[in-house]
Amino acid sequence: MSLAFWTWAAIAILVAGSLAIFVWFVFDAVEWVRRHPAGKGKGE
Amino acid sequence: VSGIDSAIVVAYIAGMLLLGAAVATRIRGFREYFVAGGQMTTPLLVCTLVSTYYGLDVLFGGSEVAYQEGVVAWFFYARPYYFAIVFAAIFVAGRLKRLDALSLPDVAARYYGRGTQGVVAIASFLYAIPLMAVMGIGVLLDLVLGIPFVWGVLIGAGVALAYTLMGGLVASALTDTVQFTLMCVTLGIAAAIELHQQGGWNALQAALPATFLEPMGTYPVWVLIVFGLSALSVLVEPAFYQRIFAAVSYRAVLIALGIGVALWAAFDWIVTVLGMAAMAAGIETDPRYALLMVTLDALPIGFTGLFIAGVIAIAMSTIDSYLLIAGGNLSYDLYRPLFRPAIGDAALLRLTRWMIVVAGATSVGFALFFQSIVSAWIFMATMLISAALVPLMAALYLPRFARPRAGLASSLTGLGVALLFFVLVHAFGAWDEEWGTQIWRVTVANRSFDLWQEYAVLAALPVSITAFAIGCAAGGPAAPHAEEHRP
Repeated sequence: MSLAFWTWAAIAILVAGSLAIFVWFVFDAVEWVRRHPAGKGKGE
Repeated sequence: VSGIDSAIVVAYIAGMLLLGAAVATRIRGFREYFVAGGQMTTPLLVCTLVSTYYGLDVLFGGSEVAYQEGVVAWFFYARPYYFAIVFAAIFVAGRLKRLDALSLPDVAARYYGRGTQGVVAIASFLYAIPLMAVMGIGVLLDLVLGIPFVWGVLIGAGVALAYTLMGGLVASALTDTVQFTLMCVTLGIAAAIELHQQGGWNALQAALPATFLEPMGTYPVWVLIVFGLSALSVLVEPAFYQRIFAAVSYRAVLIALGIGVALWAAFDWIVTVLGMAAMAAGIETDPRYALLMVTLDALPIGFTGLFIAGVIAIAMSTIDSYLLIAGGNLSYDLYRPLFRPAIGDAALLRLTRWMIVVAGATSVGFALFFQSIVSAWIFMATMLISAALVPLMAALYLPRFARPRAGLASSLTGLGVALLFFVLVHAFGAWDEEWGTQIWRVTVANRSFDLWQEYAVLAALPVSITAFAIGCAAGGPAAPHAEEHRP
């Protein structure tokens, strides 16, 4: 495949890929906070 | 740069500080501070691995090579790292994850004792001092916002230092998520706009010399080999080690590195394209700033501010993580084993925070003192590979032969030979304008050899391997705790 194709593929991976991972992280973090409420487990 | 663009940059910096302060309230001990309590999940690992490992050296260094030489920047400067990362993910990360360790020198200590731990800690500290990123942020703020270099260095290092001090690895990783998204999205959009303005890929290609599209470019083959060998630093990269220990599981590391390789490859290719676009557009500048110049030329108001924030993010995500590692090297890997093995958790946490300040002050001091170090990253990577690669890989794959004498001999001679090589090339060689590096021409029996400073690793590695073998042959007892920690 041509370098032009790979260039647009790289742009798509960077923009769409990073946004998708950020959304994944937000869902993951919400779940983590739900399982670890602040104050619980202090002094561990 | 417009008022809107400046406001975006200020808002970004304020956001990072608030995030650090919020995390600080949840830190309860050294393990939580230094390796996030081993709780890092896959998406967080992807963000922190990708953004930490890629700093301004990649952005400026990669585009510099592309601006001068073309696609060789991707094929020989960047691509060897993907092979090394895939190898590390499959063959090294699993073994490391099974050890109950917290840092790279910690692994050396398990197999070789305190001597090797000390040498590896010093090499890791030298490598981790984020000199290039701190200098880069000073140059960047000067170029785009007109802030004097000294103030730019102090602001950039100061902000990253502040939130890392407060929240440790968790703060560093959480800010990395924003920084990762910002750097990937803004770079991708900038490339799309630039390509569109230049009339598409074919127009870009037509405006470049034919050698720009040859994967090997015009570099001598030895330089390409050294470019490839420098990827071995991945196998002893302190930030990778720290994140492997911080990961919730080996599976999370494996997936994160797999996704990371795709993102790094895309990032490198876009950096290469933008470097070549600067050449095609006829922009005349210091090659290091080619990408910055061509992008700032192309972007509309608003996007410019986002892009600058993205570039600051690229630098800060590197500065914060490596300050944490350098501070940990001084407190956990050097001071604790040598002076206070029984140090309490609270005291260790307090000491580490102070040592992060020391690492920050050292970076700022070096950045202000050596304003023109171009090859700093080569020096730092060479020191780390030379001191740590042979003993660490031997420990993981040939634990039967891991003896304190072998480890110490290997790390000390590796570090010593690499340092000696650099000193000799700088004492007897000369700066070569064409290649932008220090070269020592040696004549033996009427034949001349050009010794580049980059070749130091070629001299140091064989010596380090030989010293390890001699150390093994000399025998001696195993490290006191070696057996119980063997995976």
